Amino acid sequence: MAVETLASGEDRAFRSVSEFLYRACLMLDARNFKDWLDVCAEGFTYVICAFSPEIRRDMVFLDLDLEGMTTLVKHLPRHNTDQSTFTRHMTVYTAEFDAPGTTCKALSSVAVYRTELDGGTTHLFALGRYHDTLKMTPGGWRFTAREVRLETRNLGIGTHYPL
Amino acid sequence: MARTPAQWTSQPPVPSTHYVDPSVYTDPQIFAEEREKIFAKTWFLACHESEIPEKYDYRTFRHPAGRNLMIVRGDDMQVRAFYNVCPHRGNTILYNPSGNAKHLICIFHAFAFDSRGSCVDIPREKAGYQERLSKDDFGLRTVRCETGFGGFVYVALDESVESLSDFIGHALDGMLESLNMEPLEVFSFHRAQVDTNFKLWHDTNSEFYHDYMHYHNRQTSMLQPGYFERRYTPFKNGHAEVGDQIVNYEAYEGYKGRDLSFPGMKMNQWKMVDLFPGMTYNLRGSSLRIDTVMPVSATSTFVEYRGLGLKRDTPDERAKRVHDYNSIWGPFGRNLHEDLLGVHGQGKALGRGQTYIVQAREEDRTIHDEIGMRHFYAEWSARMGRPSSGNGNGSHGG
Ligand code: FES
Ligand SMILES: [Fe+2]
Repeated sequence: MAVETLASGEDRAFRSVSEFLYRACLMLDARNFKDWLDVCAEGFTYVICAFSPEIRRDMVFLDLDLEGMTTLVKHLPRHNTDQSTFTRHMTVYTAEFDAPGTTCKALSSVAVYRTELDGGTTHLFALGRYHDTLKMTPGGWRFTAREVRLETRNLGIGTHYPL
Repeated sequence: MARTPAQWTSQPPVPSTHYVDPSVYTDPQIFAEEREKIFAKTWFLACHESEIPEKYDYRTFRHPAGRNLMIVRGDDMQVRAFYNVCPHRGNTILYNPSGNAKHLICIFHAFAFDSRGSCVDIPREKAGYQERLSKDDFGLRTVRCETGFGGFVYVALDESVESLSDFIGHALDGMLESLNMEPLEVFSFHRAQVDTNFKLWHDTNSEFYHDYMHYHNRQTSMLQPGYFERRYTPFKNGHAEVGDQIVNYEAYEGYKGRDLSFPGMKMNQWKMVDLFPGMTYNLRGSSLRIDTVMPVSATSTFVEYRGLGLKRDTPDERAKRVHDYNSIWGPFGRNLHEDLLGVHGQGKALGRGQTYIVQAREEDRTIHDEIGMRHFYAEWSARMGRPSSGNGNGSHGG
């Protein structure tokens, strides 16, 4: 019985983290950056990175703190940006909790598809993994860090939006 | 007033040096000629020496003339280039973009080559070839290769091409001190595939009138003193330099002032040189960006982007350079996406039915003058043996 109780507790925790991550994913899909920034905790860091087999090095493509992300989002309307929609397909693979269960490291796979406004053609923009660090707050889970580790390095015309 | 179909396809009322026939960006026959008459006959930047720092390091390179090459650092530390093609039955020898191998072994029938391009092993050589053929008949195909101008490895497919320093001439003189004072190192590499002609990318690097497209550039450069004094200097072989400017990065809200520079550069100084037929040295204070075009057809192009700092950077300095570079020039940077969006849009619109591409701004060679592009197309026309303005009868297809 004790084992079963423990298992269902872990199951509940995994479920609550997954739900949080999926909801955050929907906010990004909807370009609802205001709500997305609201679920990022003070001290949040956001990194997009990839390994380049050409130069045999890890590369950092974007590296911002919460203030930097807020400014990035604020400036988006001032830039000329491709307005194709981005839709993520995400699966939470693992979630590891600390002993009290108030912080969590989650690993998810993510595929980001771009759908052109003109004609609706969809193609894969990038494939990668989300390495997320979360903490439990009175308001629920919050991001303390997100690392988007991309497999894809040919990102076509790129984008101004966070992934 | 909107124009009639006849007006739309008629030549603009400016000299023919000031417009380009749209088929120059879309015609597969012209592209095939460009490969042989331009790319196979000029020096082209393949990689940086820091990508192959150790002996036996190699790097593959798809040359814009359509040949697959490998760049190999030999046991004697010399950098050499070869066709990445097995002399036996034509298999690709190296599949990985980079690596280290004392012997290069073809997976097909296991012929082995050393780092200087000699064939050193043929399985059951005597049993099959007796005395008729030997390893000496199976050496790799050498390609001319020179390293310079910041430690970049340049290759030339044609044996008769002038030396690399003659080809570049004085185009990089204004940057040489910065490029050669200390060894550089690549910290970022990515490619962008765009359905557009390679020259449209180079055009974007050869004119600054499009700064209206860039919110970041308007704030940090266009509205700053010195911008309209920037002046183009054309050099032989189609190269051109854009005069320098001091950029005010803090004018873009949220971007902190930079506290790192480059050897020989003033704080926040910006210099840029375009090399024919599709390479750009872009030095913004703390980091150097190199663009190289890699066309695959008239309407499909890869552009390779490299970010470089100093080899001796501390981790903290390197992190700053990486941040400065990517904030504007990475695939998620504020600038690069806009430039790529522009040439992507041109690629979508070009084709039959397009009017002439006008490059007629004259402003005493200052920043919004379109002389950089005109200088490129003068060289292009000379090498191609045809005017880039077309055959003059407006018959490019309305
Ligand atoms: S094709 Fe390379 S060994 Fe035969
Ligand atoms: Fe630009």
